Amino acid sequence: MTSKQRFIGATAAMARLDPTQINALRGLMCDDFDALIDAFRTDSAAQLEAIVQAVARCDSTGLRLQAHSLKGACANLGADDLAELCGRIEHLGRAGGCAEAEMLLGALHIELRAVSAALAELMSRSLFPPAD
Amino acid sequence: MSEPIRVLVADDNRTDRLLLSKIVALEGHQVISAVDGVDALEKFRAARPQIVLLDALMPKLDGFEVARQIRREAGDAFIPIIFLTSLTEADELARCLTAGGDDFLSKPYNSLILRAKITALDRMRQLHATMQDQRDEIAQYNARLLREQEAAKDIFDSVAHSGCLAANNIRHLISPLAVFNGDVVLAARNPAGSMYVLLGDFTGHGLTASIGAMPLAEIFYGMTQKGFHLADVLRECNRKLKDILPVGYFCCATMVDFNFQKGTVEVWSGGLPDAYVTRSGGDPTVAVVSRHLPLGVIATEKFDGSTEVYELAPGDRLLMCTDGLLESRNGDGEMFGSERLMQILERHRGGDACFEALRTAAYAHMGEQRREDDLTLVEVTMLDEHEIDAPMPNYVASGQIGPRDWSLSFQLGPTSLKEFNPLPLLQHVLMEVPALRIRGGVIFTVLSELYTNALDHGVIGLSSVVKSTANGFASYYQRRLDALNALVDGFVRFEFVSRASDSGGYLKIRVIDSGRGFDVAALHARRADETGAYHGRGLNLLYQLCDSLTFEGCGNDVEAAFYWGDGSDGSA
Repeated sequence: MTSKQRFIGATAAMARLDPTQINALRGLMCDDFDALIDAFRTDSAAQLEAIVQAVARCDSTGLRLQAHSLKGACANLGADDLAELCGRIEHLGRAGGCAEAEMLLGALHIELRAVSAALAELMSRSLFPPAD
Repeated sequence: MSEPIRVLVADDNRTDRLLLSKIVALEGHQVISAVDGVDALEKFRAARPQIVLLDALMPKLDGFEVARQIRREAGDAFIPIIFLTSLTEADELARCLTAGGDDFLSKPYNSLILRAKITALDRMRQLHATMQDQRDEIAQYNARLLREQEAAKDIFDSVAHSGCLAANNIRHLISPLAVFNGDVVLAARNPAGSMYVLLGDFTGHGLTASIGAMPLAEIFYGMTQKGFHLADVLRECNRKLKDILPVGYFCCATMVDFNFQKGTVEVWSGGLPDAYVTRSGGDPTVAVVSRHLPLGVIATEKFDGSTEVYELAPGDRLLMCTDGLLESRNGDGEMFGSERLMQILERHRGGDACFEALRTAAYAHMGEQRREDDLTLVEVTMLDEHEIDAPMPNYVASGQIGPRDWSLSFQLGPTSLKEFNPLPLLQHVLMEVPALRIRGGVIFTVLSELYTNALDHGVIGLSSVVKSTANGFASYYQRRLDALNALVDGFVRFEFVSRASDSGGYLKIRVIDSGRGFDVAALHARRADETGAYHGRGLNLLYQLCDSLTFEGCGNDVEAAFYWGDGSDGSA
């Protein structure tokens, strides 16, 4: 990974994360900040998988609950764009629109990966290299 | 920082849970985490947190259902619930509160706001707990108060209503809660068979009122059964109440002495509404006005025990009431008043239905807002003595073995004759003789007849003929009072001699007075014509009651004798 790539990644990440919220979280969590990021990265990946499966089964309740839960976590971490995307999927789940939801899965995938990478950049000790 | 408490954090999302736990822990509180609704309920039951943070949407059991369950299980305790939600629509947020939440916190969490909410809700929780403690305390206090009042009522009833209120010539209406309205009705017979009835109305309500009734009843029953006069009983009641009651507290009372032998009622009334004498023969009803201050107001030296005497024929009645009847109001706020009362009394003119009619009218007047608590009415009817169904006093003496060979001489000079009633004292001495106790009433009657004769007709020299004229009683008693006040010399002397053995004994009562005496032979001659009329020195009665009655000298020296068993004194 070049330093230029790193820089672009960081810029992109900052664009997707609310810096005020991130600063507040750092101040609040102190030493536990990394653990918080780690928990989000791990759990959000699992939730994305659950959302994909719910769409495949056309399980609108499962879809709604998973999207809602992920939305809350994203909001708490200042990932506002991702939170908004989750909100749209949650809304579709509520309305039983599995097909429309499916069309948003690609965007969800990309956005989540970007947020996850940006968050990893913020950790004091990077466990995983940021995604390309 | 507030006192550390236990906070349950229930959120299915680990990121949110970590964040919340951190915020709560930083406040110094103990965090209990739950990962879904079912877990939340289990943790709630196990750890009994003081505040609950609940994610609205959770797998297995959503936050709304968890909140309902917590509310059910918490019972009276107030457990503040804050809903955590990324819901944004107003109706969803409102649902958090209608489901039993006390507040909500939207994502993204703001730690400042959450901390403030926890502090505020914890303050409410403490306030609620304090209120609950106080409520429990009040409930306990109230229960104790009720128990004490029950006990007080039992004691009050057994003291105040222990007399002969159930007698067949007494009708009364008194609230079962009289202990709390200060009304008291006392009735008992004295050793001579007269019936004393006292209606009292203490100022105030509740315990103050009933406490005063205790000594009043004790004195009334104690002195009545010992044979004290009405005025003596009242004077003692007044003294006692004056001593014990706080300033401003007193007892309005009317006390009557129904003498069935003489067919008279003697009335003292202090502060109660008019009593009424109703005549079965059709004569108009007479109001008996209060002429004295209530009991417990004035000092003993100034107490006025003067009474009024009314002659009653069998069937005539006396009605007494407290102001509860007269002041009871109807729907328009109009008081019952003495005019209504008088109308009813006049309509019935001493008839048997009068009491019932009065009660019915009173209830009809009060209508819906009927307050029987304050309604106290007493009606006493004059009957022939043998028709009265009410127990005579029981004598309780110090032991079964009394004096067997004794004598006593007791002389009263003019000052004592004016001021002192010797009968209870003498009766008390006589009742120490076991064999005399069962005839206590008879002996007291004889003693008091002999004393009245000696004093009224002997020392003072009044003629009993006065009493047989119209208004005779009133003028007789007035003359008696005047003569007593003017008395400067004279005496009445009692001489008792009693002997007893295992097989029998006797008591001789000799009464000598300083009067001029009378023509014994003439009186005896007249006695043959009499048909039980009262005047004539009550001789018929004395002859009936004593085993022997003899006059000596000029008639101012009389001896009554009682024998029991074989009448022997053990000396033969």
